[in-house]
Amino acid sequence: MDSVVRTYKENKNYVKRLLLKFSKEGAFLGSALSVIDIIGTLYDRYSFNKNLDNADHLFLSKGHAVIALYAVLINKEILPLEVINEYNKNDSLYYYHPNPAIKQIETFSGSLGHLLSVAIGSALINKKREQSVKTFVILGDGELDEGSNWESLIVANKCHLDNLFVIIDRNKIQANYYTEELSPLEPLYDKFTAFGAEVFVLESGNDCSEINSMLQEIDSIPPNGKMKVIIANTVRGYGITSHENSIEKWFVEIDEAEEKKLEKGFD
Amino acid sequence: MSYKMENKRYGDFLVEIVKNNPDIQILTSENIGGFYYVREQLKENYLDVGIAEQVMVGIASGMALRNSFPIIHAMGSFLTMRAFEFIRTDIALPNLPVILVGSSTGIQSEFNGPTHQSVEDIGLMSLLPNMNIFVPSDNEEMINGLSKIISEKTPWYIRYNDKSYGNKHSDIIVGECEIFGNRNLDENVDISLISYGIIFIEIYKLKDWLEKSNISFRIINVRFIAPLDKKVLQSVSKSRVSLIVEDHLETGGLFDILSKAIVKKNMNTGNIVPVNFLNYFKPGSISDIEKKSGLCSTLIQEKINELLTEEK
Repeated sequence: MDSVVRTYKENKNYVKRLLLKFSKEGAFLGSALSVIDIIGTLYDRYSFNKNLDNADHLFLSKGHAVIALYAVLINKEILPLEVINEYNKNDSLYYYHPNPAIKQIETFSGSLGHLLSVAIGSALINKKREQSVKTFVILGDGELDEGSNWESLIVANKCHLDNLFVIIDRNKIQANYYTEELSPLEPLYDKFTAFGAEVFVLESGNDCSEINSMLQEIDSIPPNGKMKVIIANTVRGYGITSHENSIEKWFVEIDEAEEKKLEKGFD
Repeated sequence: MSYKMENKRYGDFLVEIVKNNPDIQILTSENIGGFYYVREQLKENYLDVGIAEQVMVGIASGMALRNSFPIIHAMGSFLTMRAFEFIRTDIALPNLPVILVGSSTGIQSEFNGPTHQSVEDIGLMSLLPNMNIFVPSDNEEMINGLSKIISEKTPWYIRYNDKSYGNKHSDIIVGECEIFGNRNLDENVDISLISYGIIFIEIYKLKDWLEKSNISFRIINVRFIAPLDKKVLQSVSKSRVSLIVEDHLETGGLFDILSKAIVKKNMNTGNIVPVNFLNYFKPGSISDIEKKSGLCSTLIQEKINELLTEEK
């Protein structure tokens, strides 16, 4: 193992290699590689703590990408490296989807379309208490099929939640389909704008510098009563050529030899 | 904190608890029911999410994660069915202190028809881990009970009941039933009449007649279905006949829950007779539905005469 340094940006190849280790027990590797640069950059920039009301809060609604969160937390030394050995073992806390018994995981997710509304509740209370903290929620683009998200946006708009940051992991693929071939989601920018959000587009949601610059820009916006939606254009399976944009490489289980081979992409 | 004020309206109670504890949040999903008149007074502690029950449940979950105490309201059918998975995953599983208040439950949906009939709610809520169920028999009991369960800091489902009959109740102890009768709990009786919620009054009306008829009896106001007071089971085990009267489908209702407990405990009991719904009821006035379903005191009285005669 490489020596561990704290920032994700400096250590992202190491963190991505952790994803391969999780994948030996079966994991949604494609989804994790799609969103990990976003999660890592968020953790480089903000101090999330579910136990503190005056800290920032992060909700991972696309719960099947949870290994990305585990890997980032291992890099931050919030979770121990042993998590990899415990993952998907009988009686373990670490399974395919998030479990709030784990540090930094706010609540259960994986049943899609839930956590935007939960994040709204969190942001509402922070706003009522005049806490200048942020609530982030990460949604998969396929998850936008769930009507509960659109219902939630109506409420977030009504409540003027400028402390709510909704990040869409826009890799254009859901479990078994390309999103635009199944039920077209576009034009997403216009849709979120119409729902009252201030919308930002990340050309590459897999580029830590670009993600960070956009967060910096958004952080400098004075309170304006508008929730922020960031459409992050990402690539499923980012960094592994044979997995990128692949319908088949959503959930994978790899062996030692495959791990060694794929690791080379993250040297 | 105790609210022993007769005829106190639910809305006034909400205003008072919010004043005492600013971490309590009151949520509705558009059909605000009986407390529309206090919206302005609840101010910052009130949110109406619109017709979006599942989102209301999700928002309440997020509020509870930030150490708030939401009390959320919707018609029982939409709250417990439309939002069921959100209640399960976002409230019950993480064991968050959210109080769900379902209105127009059981026969209270009157002329609304089957879409609005909440006659599965207790069954659905009793399926869930960590979920407690409070079924007050009138407005006073609802307010007194709510003032106590709010400090329990666990999920609760309440069948809203704003009816007032002027009944004198014993003080509410969370998890305990209320018993009336002419025998102690350790004595055998001819009959135990067991009910809850809006229907309880129908068995309570028979108290004087039972006393005059020299029938040994216990009338039980169940109050809490989860956790269920073991005194209810104890009474059943000491009764020649037990009548379980409820405005709920048989499957998932109190009869079902009691039957399971009796089997699990391998208890010897007398005859246990359910009076409930086997299907959705024909819309009508409360009194009409009660008559057609055998849930009114007159028909329950006839049933008791019939059962006690059979038993002899």
